[in-house]
Amino acid sequence: MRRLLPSILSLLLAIPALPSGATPVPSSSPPSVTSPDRHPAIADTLIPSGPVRHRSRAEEALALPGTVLYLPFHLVFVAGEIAAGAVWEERVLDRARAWLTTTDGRVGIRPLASTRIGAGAHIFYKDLILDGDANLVSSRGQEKRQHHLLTLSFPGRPLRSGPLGLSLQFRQEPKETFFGSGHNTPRSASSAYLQEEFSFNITHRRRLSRALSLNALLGYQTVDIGTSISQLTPPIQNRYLPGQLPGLDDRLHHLEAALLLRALFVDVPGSPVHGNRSLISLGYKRSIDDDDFSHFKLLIRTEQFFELFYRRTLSLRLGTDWRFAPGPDQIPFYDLAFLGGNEQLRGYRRGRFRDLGAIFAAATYKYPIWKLLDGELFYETGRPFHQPNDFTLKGWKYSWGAGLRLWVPRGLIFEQLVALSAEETRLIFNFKADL
Amino acid sequence: MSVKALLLCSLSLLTACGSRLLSPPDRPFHPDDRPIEKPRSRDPRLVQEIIDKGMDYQLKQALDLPRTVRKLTGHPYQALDVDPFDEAPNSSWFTNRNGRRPLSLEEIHRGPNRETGPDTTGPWQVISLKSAGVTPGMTIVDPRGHRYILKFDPPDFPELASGAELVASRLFHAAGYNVPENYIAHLPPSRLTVAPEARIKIATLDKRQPLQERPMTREDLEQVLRRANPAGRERIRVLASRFLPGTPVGPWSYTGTRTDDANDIYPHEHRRSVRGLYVIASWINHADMKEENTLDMYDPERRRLTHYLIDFGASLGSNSTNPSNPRRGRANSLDIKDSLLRLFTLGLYVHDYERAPRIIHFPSVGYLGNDLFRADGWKPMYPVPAFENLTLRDAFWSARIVTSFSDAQIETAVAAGQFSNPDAAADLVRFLRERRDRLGRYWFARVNPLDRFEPRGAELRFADLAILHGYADASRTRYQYAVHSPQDELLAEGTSSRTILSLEPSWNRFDYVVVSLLPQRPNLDAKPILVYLRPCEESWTTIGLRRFD
Repeated sequence: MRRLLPSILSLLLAIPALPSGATPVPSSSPPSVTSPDRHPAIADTLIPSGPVRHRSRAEEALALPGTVLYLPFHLVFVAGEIAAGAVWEERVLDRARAWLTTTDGRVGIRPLASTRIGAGAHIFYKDLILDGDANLVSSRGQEKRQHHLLTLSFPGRPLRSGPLGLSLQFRQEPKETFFGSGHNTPRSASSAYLQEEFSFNITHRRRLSRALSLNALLGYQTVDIGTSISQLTPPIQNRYLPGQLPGLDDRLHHLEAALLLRALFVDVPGSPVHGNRSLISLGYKRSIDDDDFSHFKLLIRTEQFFELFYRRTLSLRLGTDWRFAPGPDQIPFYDLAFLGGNEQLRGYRRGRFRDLGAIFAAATYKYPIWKLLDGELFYETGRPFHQPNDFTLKGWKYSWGAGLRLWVPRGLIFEQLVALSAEETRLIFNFKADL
Repeated sequence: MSVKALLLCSLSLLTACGSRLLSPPDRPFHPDDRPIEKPRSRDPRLVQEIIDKGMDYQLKQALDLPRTVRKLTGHPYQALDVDPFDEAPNSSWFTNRNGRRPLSLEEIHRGPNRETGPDTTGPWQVISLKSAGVTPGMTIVDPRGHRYILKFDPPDFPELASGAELVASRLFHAAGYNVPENYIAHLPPSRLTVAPEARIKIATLDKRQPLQERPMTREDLEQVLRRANPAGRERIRVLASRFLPGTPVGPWSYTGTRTDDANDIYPHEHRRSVRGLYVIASWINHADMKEENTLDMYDPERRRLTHYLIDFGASLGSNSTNPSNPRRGRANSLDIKDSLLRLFTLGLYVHDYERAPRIIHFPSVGYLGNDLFRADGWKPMYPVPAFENLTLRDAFWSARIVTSFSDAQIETAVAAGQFSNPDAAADLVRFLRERRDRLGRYWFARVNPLDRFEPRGAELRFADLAILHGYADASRTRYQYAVHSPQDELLAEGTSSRTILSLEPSWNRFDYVVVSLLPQRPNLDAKPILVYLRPCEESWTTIGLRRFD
């Protein structure tokens, strides 16, 4: 067959050097062959008027079906070239950003897209008072999520720049979901509520070293729970009687004090291979009326990165989150520790499991696909607890998944994950352009 | 393979392969010096080139049935711009230099340069600045009125980019390609003055507005100099690249032809000189082969284009702003195949370049590891369609050029880089020698390496390039030959250990004879070469030859 193929090709396509087996026909007169750098004399008349074809017309005809098949893809590639050219060469994103901002850069609007808060817009106004910022983030996501956040801060972005910051914030979440407290709450027990929160915070940030920073916060917060606008999930007021669920019936006012210690001992923040990143936060919320809702909050997270081989990295993440109410005080249901969402136990929706405490662990295997693109596989487990003494290895919930992450050395740009659990499959999309 | 089998193979090309092979190759060569109007300027973008050449072209090739069948059956499309001797004749793309006749060491050292560099007897007027991009630079006019582009070395790696550019341009020029005149100069910053007409474009705070043009100031110049010379040295080593003669009309493409150039009749991916660039670029490790690093210049007087290769700062052990690394030359920048392999093996597949350490002995010459170098596995940073059409015949043509460089010629080319550390220069020479020999060993073991056919009286002399360069053992080599008349009459056959074949005087009764030659030795997988000889007075003349993949 291998010998026959060239013969067939020769007949069809007139390819030279074909074994035909026929008796060779003598060449009556070998053509005059020459090369100008060896034999300078050559006639211009030999020059063809158009490009020299590299194959016969028969071959062109044979290639036609492939060409037809290729055309739609070609159009896609051409569109891609135009789009890529627009982004990189014509600076379309930069220019769009400029068009969405006033000439002095003080007021602007930005589109938002994330599975965490849905799709919406972020409106900002800088130099509110001297160097302050006003931010309005408003978005509509899936049925379960909506998010409206108004922040006034001084100076702008208090947690990033300047040691001292003031912020005023109004947050409205019209479609929050509560599934009950405990690790065995059925999915059917879900109910929806509206949470409106107003807070005023003074923050102080101190960089202890290149890798360590300490944030202190002192603030006032008031939270009101109302009726959700959700059409699919029954309102929480229908499921719980007055007084049955702490924090449901009253507008609560708190003073809050918190300390947050953050450590970042990793080699490349955008895609760590070695090192550790951790945070520990301790806060106290004190009711400023007689509602007995004062409580402590403790949050610990740590993630250790191990290079397995050639930038293939295993990271182990451990975290715990606890609420302690002294004496007869209670914890508002919306302030309970929770699992589910986009950070821990990602195969479950946000706030799926709530209780006074939660422990979770995750193992993530990350491997390079391209220079700035990683693949990732993760396996997570977690369980809410009512108190530390209840700790048991039974009843833990599991979640696993995979995804891609695009990064730059400073941080993550884009992440697309598929997270699975016994209850559902979630697609998580995060776009963090503002690095 | 037995002698008999080889002979059969050789003869089969003549007899079983049909009458076509009994005639010498008839390939009219078309000179490309017809006067033309100035073509339109091309302005391709890198990102578009990556999509076009890296994805679009790849899919098009994959769906091209005749091409695929040809590749599978060992009949790839051959280069079009070759003469009856399977050579690329001189053209506006390529000039036969060291591959045809060894250049003198002085010629190698001079390269394309026609003068001694920018005139240092007076100030250099800066007419434009390049503050963006990976390396700072500027355009100057010297007292003679000649324009140069000045490029600076990365401050942490002095001599790296300029040395690489100098050496690579000398080697490419000696190989036969058109390159700019490059010089090393040691510049006191005070020599630079801002030309009165110099203007600079700057971005405004409002990004909606186009870049604003204003007169260039000394401070603008100082800013660029501070980037290039943060240590504030009294003299800065710069690479001065003289403006090419003529009018630039943009880069040339690695595919197709220029529709507005009547001389451009061979699709570039089917040009021998462009395909063969693969082997030469792999030798010099010139992986940054994007279209932006090529340039067409229009000569208004001769009214024709000349096709140049430019910008070799990212070649040899240099990556322009830092030393090269093991990945360069082993994978494209966006290597879809490698990425998919890692994606679907969940990262368990580790490429050799990931495992290789990046050891740099001399910062001035960068990373010169050759452990991963594979003659057929070298990859430029961006896919080059012409390289994907490379055939064994193209590879032989360019491997012959690469191996034509002697050790002394390589040392001379490296000396042009003016490296201050002789050990660094010696390491670069070692790098080039090793790669040259690997290329020669690899390609000469896959294509019939017989060349330089010279009829002398009643003898046909030829050279076995593999033996000539020490890649094969002469004592273990025999040459199988067969001589046929145009009518396929077997005139002689046999084996010989010499690279001389006797030609019977009685054969001159034929218009020409066809000599089939095949070297036999271990580890050689080649097909016979056919040499067409015509009687000429008392001797013979070569009128063509055929090589086979």
